[in-house]
Amino acid sequence: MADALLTFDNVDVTFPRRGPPVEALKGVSFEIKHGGSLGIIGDSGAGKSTICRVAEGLVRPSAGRIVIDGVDMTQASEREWQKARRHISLVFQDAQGSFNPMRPVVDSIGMPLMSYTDAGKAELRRKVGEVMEQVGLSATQMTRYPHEFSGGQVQRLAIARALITRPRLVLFDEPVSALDVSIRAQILNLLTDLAKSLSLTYVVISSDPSVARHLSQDMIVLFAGKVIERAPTQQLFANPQHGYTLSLLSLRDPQLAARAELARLEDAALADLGKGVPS
Amino acid sequence: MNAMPDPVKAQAAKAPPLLEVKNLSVRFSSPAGEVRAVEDVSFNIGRGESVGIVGESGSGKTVTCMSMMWLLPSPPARYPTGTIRFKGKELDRHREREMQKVRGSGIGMVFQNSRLSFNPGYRIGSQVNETLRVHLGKEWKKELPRVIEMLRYCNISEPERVLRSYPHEVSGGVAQRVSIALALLIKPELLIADEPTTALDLLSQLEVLRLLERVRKETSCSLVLVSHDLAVVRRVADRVIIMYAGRVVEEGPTADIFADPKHPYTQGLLASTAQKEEGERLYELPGHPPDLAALPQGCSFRPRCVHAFAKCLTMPELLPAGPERVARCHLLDAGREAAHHG
Repeated sequence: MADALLTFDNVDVTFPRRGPPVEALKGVSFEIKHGGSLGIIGDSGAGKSTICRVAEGLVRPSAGRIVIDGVDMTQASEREWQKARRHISLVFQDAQGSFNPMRPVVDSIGMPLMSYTDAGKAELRRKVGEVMEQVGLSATQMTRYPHEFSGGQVQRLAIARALITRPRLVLFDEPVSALDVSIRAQILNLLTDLAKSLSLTYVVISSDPSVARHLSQDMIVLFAGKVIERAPTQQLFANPQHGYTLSLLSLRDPQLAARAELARLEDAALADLGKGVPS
Repeated sequence: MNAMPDPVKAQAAKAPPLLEVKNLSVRFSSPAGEVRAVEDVSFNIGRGESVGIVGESGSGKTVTCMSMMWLLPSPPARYPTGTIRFKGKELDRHREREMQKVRGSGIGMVFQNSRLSFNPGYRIGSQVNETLRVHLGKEWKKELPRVIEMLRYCNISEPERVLRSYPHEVSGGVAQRVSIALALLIKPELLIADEPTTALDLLSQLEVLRLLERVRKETSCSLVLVSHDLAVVRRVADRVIIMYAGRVVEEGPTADIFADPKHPYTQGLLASTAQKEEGERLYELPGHPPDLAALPQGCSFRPRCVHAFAKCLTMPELLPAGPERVARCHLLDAGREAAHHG
C-alpha cells in the first residue's frame, strides 16, 4: 500500500437527479503503483471519465476512499486538492477544443504553471520551450496559434501542457481517438518514451482496447459503473474471463471474434434449453 | 421493381459489373487554391461483392462514395471527368429525377451519424412510412408488416417502441440499425455504408458489424463499406481499395492485402497498427497526410515514403501487383532494381 500512487477503495459516485439518482460508479477499487500504468476500457456511460474526475478531485465520491501518494484525499478541502492537482495532469480527447483559439499556444501551455509558481515571463517561456522540445515540437513554434498546427501536433501541445507542472500522474481520456490512423503510432510512441524518461504514472481511458493495451501494465474493464474484470494487461487479452470483456476485445481481434461467436452460439443453445424454465 | 431496359452489354458473355466508377475526379475551390479531393478514381463493384474503401480523413473516400450517387451539389464540387455506371447504364448527374429513383431503390446509403439523417421533428415511424411511400408508391401499406420484421432482423428488440420514438429518444446504435433496416427494406442491389461504426459505442459497433456480416451472407445485396478502421473492413470486406490523398493506391482481395501489402503506405499503415505489448515501440509512419490544395510533386506519398527514389517525382500508374491486385508505386515497375532503393 505504501508504494501506491493512487488508490481507489470501494468508491461510489452518485449524481442526484429527479427520480432515482444516477449511480455512476459502484464499489470501484484499484491501485496504481509509482511508475505503473492502468488502462480503463468500457463502453460510453460505463463511468470511465467519472474515474478521471474523481482522481482530479473534480467530483467527490459519495462513499469509499481515495488515497493519493499515501494521503487520504476523501475529506480533503478544495485547497488541499489544488495542491495535489499540481502532480496530476489530464489530457483531453478533443485537443484542438482545449486550446484558446485566440491566444498563442505559449499562453495556454504556460497557464497551469502560473497557478503554481510566480515565475516571470522569461522563465515561463523557457519552461514552455523546454516541454515543447520534449514532445517533439520546436520551441520557436510557441508564438503560433492552435489552428496553425496539425491534429497530431495539437495533441503534442496538449501533452506538453500536461507535462509543464512536472506531474507524477497523467490521466489520458481517449488520447488518440481523434487522430488519423497513420498519426496514432507517433503519439503512442511519444507517450511510451515520456513515461520512461520522466518516470510518469499513467491512467489511460480508451474505448479502443488496443490503445489502452499499448500504454498500460494493468487493465480494468468497467460496465455500468462496476469493475467487472481486473487483470494484468497481457493476461486480460490472452484470456478474458468475462463474456462482456470477450465481446469488447473481439471487435478488433479476429481470433477472439471466433471465440466470441462460439460463446454466443453456446449462450443461444443454453437459452433454448432453458425455455419454459421460469427465471 | 425498377426494371431497366436491358442494355446490349448484358447480352454479352460477361455481364457488366453492378457499379462501375470510371476516371472520377472531384475538385473544390478554396481560398488556399484548388482542392483535389478525388483524382482519377476507377473501380468496379461486382454483384454480391463486399468492398471496403479505406483511407484517412482527406483521402477522398467519402467524396468518392457521395459522388457514386451524385449527392454532392455542384458547385461547390466540380467534376472535370468521371462516369458512374449502374448495371451498365450511365447515371446522369444532371437528371435529378432519374437519380432519385436510383437512390434508395437501386443504391441504398447509410451515413456515419444516422441520428442526424432523421428529421428531429417527426417520429421515426412516420419517416419510415415516408420512405416506403416514395419508393413503393401506392402499394406501400402492404409492406408495413415487413417493417417490423426487418427491424427485428436488424436486432432491434422493441421495434414498435422505436417506431413511436423521436430520433433523439433512441441511442446512436439503434438509429444506425434503423437506417440500415430502412435501406434494406427497399431491397437495394447495392448498399453503401459510410463509416457506419465510427460514432458508436463499442457494443453497438459490434452489433452493426454483425448485422453487416449477416447482410453479406444472407442477401445478394452488394456492399461498399467506407472506413478508416482497418479491423472493421477486414471483418466485412472481400476486397479492399486503399485511398491516399484522393487516389487509389492499392486494391486487391482483403486477405492478400493484409497478409502482404504492396504499397509503402499500406505497409506503413498495417505496421503502425500491428498490436504490440505494453512498452514496445510501434512502427511510425513519418510526417502527416498532405494538404490537398498543395500536393507534393509526383507520388503524393513520396515525402513520407522510406523507399522514395528519383523516379517518384513522377506520379506512378496503378501497376499489377499479383493476382487481381494493383498498387500505385514505381517499386513495382518491371525495371526496378535493387540499386534504385538499396
